[in-house]
Amino acid sequence: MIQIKNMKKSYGKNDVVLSVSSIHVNAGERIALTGPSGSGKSTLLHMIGGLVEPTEGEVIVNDIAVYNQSMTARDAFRMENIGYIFQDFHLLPSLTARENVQLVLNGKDAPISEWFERVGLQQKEHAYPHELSRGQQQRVAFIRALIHRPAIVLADEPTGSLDVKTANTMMELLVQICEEEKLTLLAVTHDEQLAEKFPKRWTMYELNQCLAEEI
Amino acid sequence: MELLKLTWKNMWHRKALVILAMSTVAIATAFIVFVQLLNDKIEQTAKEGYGPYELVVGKAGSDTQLMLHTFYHIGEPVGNIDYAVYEYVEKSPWQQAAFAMTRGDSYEGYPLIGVDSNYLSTRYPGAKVKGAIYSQVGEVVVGAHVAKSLQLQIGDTFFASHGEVHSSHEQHEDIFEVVGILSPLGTPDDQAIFTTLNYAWLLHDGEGMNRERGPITSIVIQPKGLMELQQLADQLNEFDDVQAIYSGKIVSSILSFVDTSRTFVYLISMVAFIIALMAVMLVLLAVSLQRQKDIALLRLIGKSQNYIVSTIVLEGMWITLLGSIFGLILGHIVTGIFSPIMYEKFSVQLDAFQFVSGEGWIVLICVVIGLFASIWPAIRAYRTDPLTLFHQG
Repeated sequence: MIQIKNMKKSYGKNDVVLSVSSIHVNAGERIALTGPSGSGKSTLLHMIGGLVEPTEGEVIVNDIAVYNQSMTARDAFRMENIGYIFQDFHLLPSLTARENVQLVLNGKDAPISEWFERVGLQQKEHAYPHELSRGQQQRVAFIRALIHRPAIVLADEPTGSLDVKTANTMMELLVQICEEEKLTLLAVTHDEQLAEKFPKRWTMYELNQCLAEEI
Repeated sequence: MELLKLTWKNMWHRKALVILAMSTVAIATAFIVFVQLLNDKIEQTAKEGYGPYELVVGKAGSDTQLMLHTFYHIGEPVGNIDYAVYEYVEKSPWQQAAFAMTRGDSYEGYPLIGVDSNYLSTRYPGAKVKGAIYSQVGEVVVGAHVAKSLQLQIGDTFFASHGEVHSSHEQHEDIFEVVGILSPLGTPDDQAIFTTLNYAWLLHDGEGMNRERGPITSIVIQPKGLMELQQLADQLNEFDDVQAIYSGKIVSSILSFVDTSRTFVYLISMVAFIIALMAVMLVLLAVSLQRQKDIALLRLIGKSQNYIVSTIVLEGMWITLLGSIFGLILGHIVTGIFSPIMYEKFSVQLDAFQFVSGEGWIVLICVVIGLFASIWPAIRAYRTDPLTLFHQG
């Protein structure tokens, strides 16, 4: 499903920030990625998402070599295969909750109302982001990331801007939905307790050889 | 989501800025429309104002003043000429029709014109008269605007004032009676009062004036042909202290002045459009800066660079398209508002419902302006890195 081989990312000649010998993620796996700030968690996520090209090595998602494609093909790749969830939700303020979700569908049909009901927002489909609470906005962001059944869902601190209780609830919801829909989930979190909700855990100390060398 | 819907939603979300940009386009467009309507009407009025009377004879002096006063009732008369000049013209085989005019008095600012009643039927063959044409001294036929403005009815009477200035208090003792009201003619004659040629001689009787053959202000002549026109003009210019002018030539020189003014006004309009272009561009730039994270999100979820550019360009074109349409409507509304003033002051009858030739082109030009104004903001958006989403601030 996702394969990374001998991948390095450096900024400048000698400034290697990420070095991964091998990563393999199977379809349907739900993995929490932890590590200290600056350990390369987000960089790894962005590389898998087709946003940051590695200096060396390959990133393969669903048998597609992500960085062998043109910019336009990579855009289409992200549209079809990647679902992104951010710490700050990033809903477009000019669109309703439903319209924000429709952005990823590209004209395709999907049971949008059913998804809203599933996350407990059945009355909020036509509300604008400023009319929703932070927790509600994050639920809409979940739907936007998951509704088109992407090959992988990449979540970068998805509960980072929520209070503890809401963060717990949101993370449980995310993991549960991905399990029900059999979606592959790779979530970055610095919270050890939240990471425990995932069946599998990786730490950047294990993955990033640069960190291992520092230690 | 369709591109068009996203564009509309973005515009609605920032409607204050969008309306501001649209307003600059609308104002520039309205200005052009009003000026064009005004110029078109001035040209039409000028060309139609003298009818078939290609030659005008009056006292030597300013030819423009003679022309403007005789047909457009603007300004003061140049002076008087001897009735003998009219007798000469009457006998000439080169004229088809000729009418002498006496002027110098007014009622409530509207000029009193003494002329043979056949002038009206010759000049305006299709015009109707409510009541009757004047046939004797003291009877008048008033123009449609005079009747409406002063609420004159057939049978009403008034005293004329000396001079053609509204504020003149020097009233004559002789009374005039309205016997007819003309239908609207669409020329400055809607704002005039017509009576017998000899009214002025009888009015000023006792001032040493001949009641039968007094001085006249002007003679309007319809020549038989071009050659006759020139020969008649040459002969009349031989008279002492008399000038014979070509109506068409004077109107052309007046219109060339109008053309110069129009060129100047068009230059101002171009400046207005440049300002509108800059306003649209600044609004789009401001919007794209505000929406940087939104644009980054769209890129991140997989919308192509072309999609992003298209939203910006479409916004620019919608702003200018709608702005220009509102501007066209506004231009016509302003024309309607100024119409009575232009008619009152300059006898130019503006028609707010008349379309300017090229209104479609104005809209098209505005849309092209919108396209150009979008280029820089679109380039900025094109270069937006999806990772901007993860930057602080």
